[in-house]
Amino acid sequence: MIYANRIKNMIVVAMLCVFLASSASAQSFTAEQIADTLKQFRTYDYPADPTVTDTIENIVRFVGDKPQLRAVAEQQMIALLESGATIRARQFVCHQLWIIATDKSVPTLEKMLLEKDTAEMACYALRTHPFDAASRALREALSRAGDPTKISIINILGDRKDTASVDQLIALLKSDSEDIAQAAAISLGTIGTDKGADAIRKARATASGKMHVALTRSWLRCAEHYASNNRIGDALAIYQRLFNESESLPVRRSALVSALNTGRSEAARLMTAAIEQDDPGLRAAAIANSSLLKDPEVTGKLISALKTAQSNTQVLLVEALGRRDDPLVKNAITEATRATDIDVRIAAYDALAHVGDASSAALLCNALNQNPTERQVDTILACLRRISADGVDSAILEALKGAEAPARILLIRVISDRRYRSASGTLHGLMGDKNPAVAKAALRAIGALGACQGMGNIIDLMLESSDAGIRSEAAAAIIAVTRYGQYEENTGQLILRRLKKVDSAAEKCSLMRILPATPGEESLKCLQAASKDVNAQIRDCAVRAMARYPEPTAVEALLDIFETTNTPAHRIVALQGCIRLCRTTDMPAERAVKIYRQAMQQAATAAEEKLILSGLAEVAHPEALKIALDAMQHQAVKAEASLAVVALAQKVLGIDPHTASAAAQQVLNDSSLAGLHPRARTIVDANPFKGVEPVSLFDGETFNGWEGNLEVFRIEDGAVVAGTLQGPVVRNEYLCSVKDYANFELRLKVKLLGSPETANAGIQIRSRRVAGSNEMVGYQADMGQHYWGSLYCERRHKVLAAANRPELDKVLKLEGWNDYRILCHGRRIRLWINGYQTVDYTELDESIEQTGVIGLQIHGGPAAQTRYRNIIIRVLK
Amino acid sequence: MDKRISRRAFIKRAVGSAAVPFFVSAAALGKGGSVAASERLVLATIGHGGRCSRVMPHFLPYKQVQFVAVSDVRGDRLAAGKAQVDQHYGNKDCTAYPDFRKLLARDDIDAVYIATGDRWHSTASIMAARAGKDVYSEKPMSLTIQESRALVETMKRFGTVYQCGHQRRSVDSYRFQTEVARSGLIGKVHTVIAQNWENPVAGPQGPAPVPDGVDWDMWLGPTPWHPFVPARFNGWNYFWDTGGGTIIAMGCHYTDIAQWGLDTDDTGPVHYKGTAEFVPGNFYDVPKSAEVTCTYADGRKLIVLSRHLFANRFIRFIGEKGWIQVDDETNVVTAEPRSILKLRGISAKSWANPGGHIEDFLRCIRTRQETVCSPEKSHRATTIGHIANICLRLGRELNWDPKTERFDDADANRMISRAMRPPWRL
Repeated sequence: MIYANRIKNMIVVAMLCVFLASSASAQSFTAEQIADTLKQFRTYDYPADPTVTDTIENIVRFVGDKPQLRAVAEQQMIALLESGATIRARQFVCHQLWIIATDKSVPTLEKMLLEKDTAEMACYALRTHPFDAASRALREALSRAGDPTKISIINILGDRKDTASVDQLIALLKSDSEDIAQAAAISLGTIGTDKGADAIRKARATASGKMHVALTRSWLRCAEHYASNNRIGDALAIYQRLFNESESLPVRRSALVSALNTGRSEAARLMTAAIEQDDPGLRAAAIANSSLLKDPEVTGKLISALKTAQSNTQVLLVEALGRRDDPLVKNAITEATRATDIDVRIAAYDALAHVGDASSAALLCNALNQNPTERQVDTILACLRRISADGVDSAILEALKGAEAPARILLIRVISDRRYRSASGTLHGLMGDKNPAVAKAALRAIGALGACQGMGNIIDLMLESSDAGIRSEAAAAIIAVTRYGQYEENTGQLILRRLKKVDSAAEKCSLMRILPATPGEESLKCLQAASKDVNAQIRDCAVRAMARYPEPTAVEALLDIFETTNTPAHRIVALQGCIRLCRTTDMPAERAVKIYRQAMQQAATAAEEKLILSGLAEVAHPEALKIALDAMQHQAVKAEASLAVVALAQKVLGIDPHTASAAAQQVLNDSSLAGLHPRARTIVDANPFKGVEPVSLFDGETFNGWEGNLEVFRIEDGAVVAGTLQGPVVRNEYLCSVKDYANFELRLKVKLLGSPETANAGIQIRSRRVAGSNEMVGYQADMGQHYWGSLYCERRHKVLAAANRPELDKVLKLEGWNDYRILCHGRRIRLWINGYQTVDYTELDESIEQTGVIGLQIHGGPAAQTRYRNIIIRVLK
Repeated sequence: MDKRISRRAFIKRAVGSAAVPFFVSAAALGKGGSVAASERLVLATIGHGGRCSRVMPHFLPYKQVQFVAVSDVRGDRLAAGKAQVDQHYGNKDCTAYPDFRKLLARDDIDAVYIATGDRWHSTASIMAARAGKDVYSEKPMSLTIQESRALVETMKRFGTVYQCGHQRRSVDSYRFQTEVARSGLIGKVHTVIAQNWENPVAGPQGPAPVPDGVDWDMWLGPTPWHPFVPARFNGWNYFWDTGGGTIIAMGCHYTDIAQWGLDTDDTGPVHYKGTAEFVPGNFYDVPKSAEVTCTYADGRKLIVLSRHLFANRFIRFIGEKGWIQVDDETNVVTAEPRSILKLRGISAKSWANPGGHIEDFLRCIRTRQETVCSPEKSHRATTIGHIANICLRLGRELNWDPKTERFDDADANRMISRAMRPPWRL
């Protein structure tokens, strides 16, 4: 089953890959076409048809890896910018130059920087231009451009980290325009040279208002520049200065967090200072970001802060400590589990999940015995499940033995959630506990762990306990251990033997309910016999157990009950079981269809038909679609049937697009099903045959559209002929289509003459000629010998899928004309001869090319002659 | 690998350390549901359109939250935003700002909820952080890779609490899905398929007068100038200058979930290959449909699809032993083997309810801890969408180095950032 799923997934992935490969078809362009397109583009403006912009984008894509054509495109774009082209055309071209411009574009763009209407688009083209010329042009334009452009250029120089512009930017700090001065301040910070940093510090000392704010931000950037250049002292001096209480809160927080971002232990001083601050935001920021400092000394500082802090700060400190990888942490957190404040205790429990060990587990278990609140219990249990260290499991088990009943039940669950199988001995003892809640929890854990110390005892408990809850938990445990567990003994045999020994109907029923967990011939037979028992209680139990039977072997028996029983309830139970088996097991589609059809015929009520349709809708088979279509005629189930039709048409689309799309069309035709129309429309539109006209590949007179050795291939009576019956055929030869075909339906008439034991030919599809050779590689729809109707691979030299010869022989005409149909769609290749499908193959090897030419073959060997005519292709979407 | 986990344990693990639900503690609430002044969080919105009006009701139940201001460049939305807030508080106190810079200048505002068009997300987030505000921003967090990298650095520099609106991280179905993917229950995951719907196609349109009450220049913000064209105003999602189509608009949610489930929150795929269906004559820039295969360094694949209908979107993790899928439209989880589903706790909340995501944000404002959609994680997820679009625009395969955040392709490297219209900058 797992293997089958993997194949399914591979097919899904493979199908996607085909779509990728097949849909890419790059347009190509000559230098003239590029020039023409861009000349024509000069007058482009609203509301013209935007197709030309798509063409230009295609040009940019096409010239990507072609330096000469790329130069042509750039040259034409420059020419356009220099001409009187519309603003819209020039803007669009600048956005293309953003991608492909070289230094050749720079002089033009530089001029544009000085013009009000074009400065913005020129900036766009130059922003990430990788040539030095661009930076030079931007610096040049800086003194001459208009104010808004100036800001843009300053921003861009900053983003480009253009160190050569630092002097100019420093001068602009004194600009009369506040906006320009601020922009210069920010860019200086972004570029981050020593000289710039110095200028910022000096300017900030005297600045005020918005300029002061901008310079402060910039100064923070300078500090980052120092920190990354290993001048940590200088960086921290700035942070220390900006953390000063005279600064605004956001600036102080930024100084603090930035200092911690350096990761240097020297920053710990700032952290400690912030934790002692009155402002809760700064305090929280210091604690939350303390994780940036890995130094053990920092752990110590957090721990000592924990001792004196208010409880809401303690919560944050405990959380921060819980994230540290430091052995010191455990004791401090353990201490905090004894805090008076409940939030602190809960935070501490939670933190132990990360830093705790076996002794912490014992502590947590013990806390469960001390009247915890519901919130505490939830936290403790969550921690006990997550905590991972040596000996935790056994510590919990030890605590379980000494715990009081409520805690004991919780710890049993923890053991089970932790998958601690070694606890099964203890659990086995506890399932007989006087406290029924404990016993039930133990049984549930045994089932969940799938670990059991003796099935016989649990069966006894199931049959003999006076507590109904325990009896049902025991049954559930037996089923779980049998189905999922690692239990040696054959539970099925055990149950069947017990069944013979017990007398009461109640006991028999208890045992029978287990049988579906141990499927096998004997189990099924036993249930079938019981379903005809004279005792109604036993009959009922058997039918219901069969309906839960996990293997498809029960399907026929259930269908039989559905058809023959006199008990209405059993009818529906059996039908449900039947459908469940069809849906959940890897049942072949053909068998499922057969069962659904039979069930449909026997269905007596609309409710039954609806049930059948719900299952039928999942069967990917054209026949299933037919059943659903028929059901659409039945007014009482029309809605359900239509839903099934749409679902099935979707599934069948890849197998039989005609039927699928006709079915979807039927839903579309009915206006009362409007809700389903969008989905149906998608299916109709997805039909790869929709709107596709057949095209003849061979005109019967010339080799137009074909290439090959014309000494071998000739035309006679409107057919392509190759080979001779007079003597041996020297070697393999192929007549190939000039064009490639990937997804298509090819139909042609073929005839092969010569000895049926030796004559061979075939049709290559998705194939390539081997350079310098007469051979080809690729798939072949084969003809001749035992290969008729098979799919052969001329690459891997093997039969990929063979025809069923006895069946094919019923329709194959050895000496006459045969109708060959070849359908290639996605990774799937299907072949038919005279209407009989011989091959349905899906290529799972993603490396095999799924497009190529069509090649008509004559195979080398003893005398043989092959003829091909009426070659019709439909190229699919 | 036997890693069966009981349902209860599973829920607990998925919720993780959220076992300290700060905001339900009665201590935080004063009498009659009012909140002590020190606990109050003053909020404002930037961009008050459809998304904001749908999300805001999920903020309002938190008693400590108080909205005092809204902003929008569209007069009608601004008025509707103010009305929404005023109606909730039963007064007229909410201030409406056409220009969000005035809103950011207010000292009493602690945090902002940003739900503008994509073009403003990172610029507004960064400006808010600089003004000392914490930020919950709608997705996608940026228009370019450089924008969101700058956002990450800014949030780090200012110690800002930033929550990206990838709210599926706070939704039970996706938590469950990613937990299953990471736990090995479906074997080693080799492929993730994420399907968005397909982009619309439109015919050409010409400029029109700017509608009354719309500040078109502010609407465009940092993006390249264009005349007012209704299709651009309403369909900004489908133009490269202002959006990136569903592959980024919705795709960022799924790449975020994929990154989470693959445990690659601090890195990303290294190879991109894709095809797109650019429809000639389409007034919109983005392709009608597309698919991009993103491959991680260890060979795992993330296949991002933009096709079919809105209702068809899903995300599926495929492992060696099975798969798990969340159908985004219905929030239904399916899996193979089906037994996995028994481990799930059932929650009625779907992606449409960002309540849990908001709660995480509000908690982090107090604790200054990292949100579930922290800047770095969100940037990495968003980057996948940006690279996918660059790959489609260039029409070639791309190699990406998640460490240096550069391509080995000079043209693609240029597309990491774009010039912004003055006076805007990052």
